[in-house]
Amino acid sequence: MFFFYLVMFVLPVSIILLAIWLAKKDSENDG
Amino acid sequence: MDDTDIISVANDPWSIGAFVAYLVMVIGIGIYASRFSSQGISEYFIGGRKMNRFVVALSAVVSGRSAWLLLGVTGMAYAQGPSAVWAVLGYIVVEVFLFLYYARKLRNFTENRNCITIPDFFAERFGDKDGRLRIAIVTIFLIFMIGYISAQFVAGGKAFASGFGMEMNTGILVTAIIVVAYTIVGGFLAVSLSDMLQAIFMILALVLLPVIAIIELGGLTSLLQQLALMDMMYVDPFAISVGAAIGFVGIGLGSPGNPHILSRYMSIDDPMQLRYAAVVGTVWNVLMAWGAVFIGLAGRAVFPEAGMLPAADTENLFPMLAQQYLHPVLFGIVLASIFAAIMSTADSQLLVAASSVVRDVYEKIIKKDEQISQKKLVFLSRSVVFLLVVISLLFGFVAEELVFWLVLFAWAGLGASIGPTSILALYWKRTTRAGIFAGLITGTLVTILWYYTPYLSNLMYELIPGFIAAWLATWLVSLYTTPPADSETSFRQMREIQR
Repeated sequence: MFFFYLVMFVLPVSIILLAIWLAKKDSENDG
Repeated sequence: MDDTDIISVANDPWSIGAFVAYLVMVIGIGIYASRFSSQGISEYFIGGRKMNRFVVALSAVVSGRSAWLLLGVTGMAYAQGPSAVWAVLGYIVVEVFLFLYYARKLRNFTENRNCITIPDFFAERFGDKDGRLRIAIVTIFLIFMIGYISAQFVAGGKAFASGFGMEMNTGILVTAIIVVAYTIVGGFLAVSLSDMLQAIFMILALVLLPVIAIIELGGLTSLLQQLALMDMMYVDPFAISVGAAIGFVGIGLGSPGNPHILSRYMSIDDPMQLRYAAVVGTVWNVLMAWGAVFIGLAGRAVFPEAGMLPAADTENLFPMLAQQYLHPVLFGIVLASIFAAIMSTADSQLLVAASSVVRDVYEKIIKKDEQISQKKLVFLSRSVVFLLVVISLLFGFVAEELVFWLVLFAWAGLGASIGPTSILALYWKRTTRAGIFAGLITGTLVTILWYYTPYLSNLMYELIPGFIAAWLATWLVSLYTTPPADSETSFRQMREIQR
């Protein structure tokens, strides 16, 4: 069940956090 | 059609009311957008580059997600459990990067060079004076797009048949009439605004249904216990072969090559807002995709045998589960969401195919040195949209059974030919016109040959080898040919934003 929770809950949240982090980084690079 | 195929709501006024309300809104958007879209072909085909970040985010995401997500992925999760996640993971991650990096370069360059189509972009980037590059790309578009649009119409016919007990061919015709009505009148603005509405319908259906179904089944723990008792495969996301997993994740390689997604990026008013669109688009993509997988899992608990579904077709799970658990009004919304997925893809593809005929063939090649009024171009664009609908309809009627494989095949063909070539055109200064030709031809041929070789097609989805082969061909041929003299200027224009 560990992998189920990992893939079905942790993975989608991580993708959203990755998008937010990259967008923030991109905005900081523009100064 | 067998009676068991029907999940009819024809007698429920609430469901019909919700569905009709959705259709009225879509047609209303077409009429609202018609004045703006009549101003010129830039307005008609890319909304005059005036779309805001929210519209672009949702429109890019739902244009890329056809009925495959609602019917196909839910059915896949029903059949093989949470490993269906790998089929959605690839395109979601790829699109994060497209929104953030690729899209801005494409948007800046196409505005600086006044390009309104993808062939326009390639022609400007590689100084295509004789128009051969345009012709090659338009040919690839039309080969894959007609079948792709037909598939959407046939999916609409199928949904009308199962939802309203309507005869299949009548359903196909009704779907086409609705799409053509607002696309011809309202152009890109209507398509983008209706995409927003469709995105809301889709997310409502894909999030609400699994939440309600899981609560009704006694909660997540209870659902997982039931699934584990049936087969551990239904709770194991890794119950899949490595080859199949790679093929699933590889579906994502199609996103940078599908022009109906790329034209959304070109339409944003402020390219710096693409980072906002990336976040909104990703949230939407994730919720819709994981919602679809959870629907499949809940569906397995409710209908333990596929034979319990109409015609034993796993693609009927989504409407069946909705009928089981939702109020008729919400069920009407679920049905509308299936049409939303179909229409948001078909309308965007129609505009892209029409734009490549009117802008790239007629305006830029046939009438190359002539001044044509915007009014005439818009009229012509509307006529071509109509003509393409008629061709797609005929194709759909003749090849009803054949068109479904065309969706994945077209996604692969466009992804393998346009994807690697456009990425290299945007990121590698050494890319040459000859290299692009090599990539386009290799990507298309490898996709087709791979698909038609049973041993290879069983091994892996044709997009992956097609994409890699096209990338290598573009790179190798570019190494031995001369890049355009203005590559430096082109790269500067990919960074420059017009104010």
